[in-house]
Amino acid sequence: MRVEYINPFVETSYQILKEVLGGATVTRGDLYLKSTAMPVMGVAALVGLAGDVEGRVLFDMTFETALNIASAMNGETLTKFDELAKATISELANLITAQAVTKLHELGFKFDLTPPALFAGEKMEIAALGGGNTNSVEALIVPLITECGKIEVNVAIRERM
Amino acid sequence: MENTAEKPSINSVLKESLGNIQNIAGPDSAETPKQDNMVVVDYKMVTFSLAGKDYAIDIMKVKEIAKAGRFTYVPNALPFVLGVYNLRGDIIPIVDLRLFFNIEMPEREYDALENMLIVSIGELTFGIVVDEIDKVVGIQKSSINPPHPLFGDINIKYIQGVVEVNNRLYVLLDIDKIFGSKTDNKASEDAVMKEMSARIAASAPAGGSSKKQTAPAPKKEEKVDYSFIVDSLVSMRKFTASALNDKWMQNRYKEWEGERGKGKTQLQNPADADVFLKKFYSPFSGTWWDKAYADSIFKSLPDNTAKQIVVWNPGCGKGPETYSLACILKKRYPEAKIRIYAHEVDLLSISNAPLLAVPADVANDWYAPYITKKANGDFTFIPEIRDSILFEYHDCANTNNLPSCDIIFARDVLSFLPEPSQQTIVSEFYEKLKGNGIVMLGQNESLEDNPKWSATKVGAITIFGKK
Amino acid sequence: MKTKQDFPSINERPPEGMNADGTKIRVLVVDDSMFVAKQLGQILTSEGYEVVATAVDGKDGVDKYKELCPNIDLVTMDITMPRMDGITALEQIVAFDKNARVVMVSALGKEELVKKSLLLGAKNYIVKPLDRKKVLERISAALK
Repeated sequence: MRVEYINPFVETSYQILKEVLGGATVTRGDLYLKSTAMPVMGVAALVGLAGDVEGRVLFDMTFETALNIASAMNGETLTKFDELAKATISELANLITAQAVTKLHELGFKFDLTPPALFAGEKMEIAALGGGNTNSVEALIVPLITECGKIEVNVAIRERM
Repeated sequence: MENTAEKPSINSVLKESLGNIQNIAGPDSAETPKQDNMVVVDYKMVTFSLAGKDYAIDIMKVKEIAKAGRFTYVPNALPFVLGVYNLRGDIIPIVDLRLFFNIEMPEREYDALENMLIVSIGELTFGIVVDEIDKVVGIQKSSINPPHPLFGDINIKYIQGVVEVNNRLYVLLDIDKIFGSKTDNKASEDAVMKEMSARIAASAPAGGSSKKQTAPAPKKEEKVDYSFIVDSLVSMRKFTASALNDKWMQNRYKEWEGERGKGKTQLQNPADADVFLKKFYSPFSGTWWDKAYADSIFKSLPDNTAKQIVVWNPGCGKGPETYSLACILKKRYPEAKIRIYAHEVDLLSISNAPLLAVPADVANDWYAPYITKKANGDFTFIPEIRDSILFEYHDCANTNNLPSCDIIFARDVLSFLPEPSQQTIVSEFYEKLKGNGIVMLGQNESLEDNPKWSATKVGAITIFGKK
Repeated sequence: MKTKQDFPSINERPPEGMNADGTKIRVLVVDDSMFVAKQLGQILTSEGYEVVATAVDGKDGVDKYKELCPNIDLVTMDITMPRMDGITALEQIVAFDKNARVVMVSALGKEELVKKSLLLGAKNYIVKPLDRKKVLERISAALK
């Protein structure tokens, strides 16, 4: 992944997450590269990217974490991962990605994004989450640890040749 | 097990001894179940064929199924170890059970796609090549019968049992016994299996650092000493002695023996390893180039009339090498659009590369035409040079989507990768390189011994091309 | 009956969402996110505004505006939505009603988008995440 793209995603994920959780403690884990871009934890909120690049950002977390975050963002305890909870996590993905895209724009990189999609389930549809060649796409992982649980920001971007 | 007097066909013997089995898997089961209609599937197996016969493996051991054509051959391994395979970034050994069991099989087509079962035993993952993979079959565990001694094809100790489903007989293989499971507490293990596990573990660069099979089996003391040095270099500095740098290693070792004295060659600590390796590095490795070196690289570049020159620079580190290359390429191919893909797996090193500042003395050297001064007095490269480079945080062990390359510039990079990765990446070089493309490695790295590559010397620089 | 506790932002002044004659200012919220619609709705309602309708994408927004006009005083418009985005919807609403008051509410803060929206007729632009104070300020400014 292009070096210049990394910081906007890292900074934005951290700042927005901290903000929507009302200033709660958010710890950044070490960044690393994964050979496959598949999400692994149970809930994945995905925002597509276009423009100078093609790819997507995905926010990977467990059901429990998703419910905790949705509850915190709504200011009430949600007990089921219902439409509101899903919409809340999707919006979190949207907020982070949109602000990262805005920052990248300021740096001269023209990105566009799609409305978020949410995938939840034990075995997620592989085809739905990245098109034909998900297996061969490298992903940058930004782990973020909060009191609600861990989120992995999973970025798979390819330059448009 | 019944002991029959004559020698009937195997299948009828087994059918007899298996008795009336519940055929759970299919609707065409003729037998009426003895108990009630509820049969519990408490065991699932993946069925496949080997040399025309049906086999199965416990599904819990099978991670996934893959089809593959390209294995990287591993020297010094046992004959049934076909090689290693890159499974989404993990290097795993591939075994051919047909060879392991000495089963007759048709000659394998070189480029044919093989069917593989990816199995995992404890922490180890292997690929198993089979003829055809059939399906997943659910059975009742109690219907698995112990193997019949008449079964001569495969050593009985590797068979967990046999089970009949839908009029088909499956031999259930005991994968743990075949690959020597770590949880197997039997005091006496088959010597072959022990060695097999060890060999397989050695050929795959698994988590911890085990002894790498990079040197031939030590027979004399000298060779033992040499292989210890090889091991130390890996564990201390990740330097992997291999065919790529063998010539240099042999010479350096002889020299080292002379310097330290026989029997006193061992590397005491990482600083010692650094002294040993000091002679390995290419000139100006990791730093700005002087004019003489820059000129020698310039001269080694062949003519190229392409409108766009694509360059792959894996292991670019902090960037000075990439920028130096960019300037030289601009000078050598003034009409072309230069596009350099600079990759580095150490995020800390590469994170500042796009904005790398140039020290004043460097700015005034041969780089001058490509440098500009910023408002704050710092020197940086002109936009044309900066725009020609794409710095990416990328692990070259993962697949990339680079276009075909004119030049691959990888100095002192491959020697610091585990051997299977080295081989995988060299294959990748071969695939990505255009027909008339060139590869440049470190001063003491070479593809000379590789039959697929040709070497050309231009002064002190060697360039490699596809044969 | 509503009490001061229902309007947390007021001390002695009337809620901004109320007209001088006591009627409420009517808002159409256009956003594909149930969460944002709820959040925005809560902010607006707490300040006396009335959310008369919610639309889930640009096309739905345009349709509802045409349907409910002239009983809409203000529209909040998200940009990134499926089927029809907010910029296109803005264009269509302004073409339909040149006096339409549309405030963009988006997570995207690109300068060119802000400029484009304002040039196309949006009265103001709010960048998410939603800050209650900022939302109310900008909405109020748009209504002047």
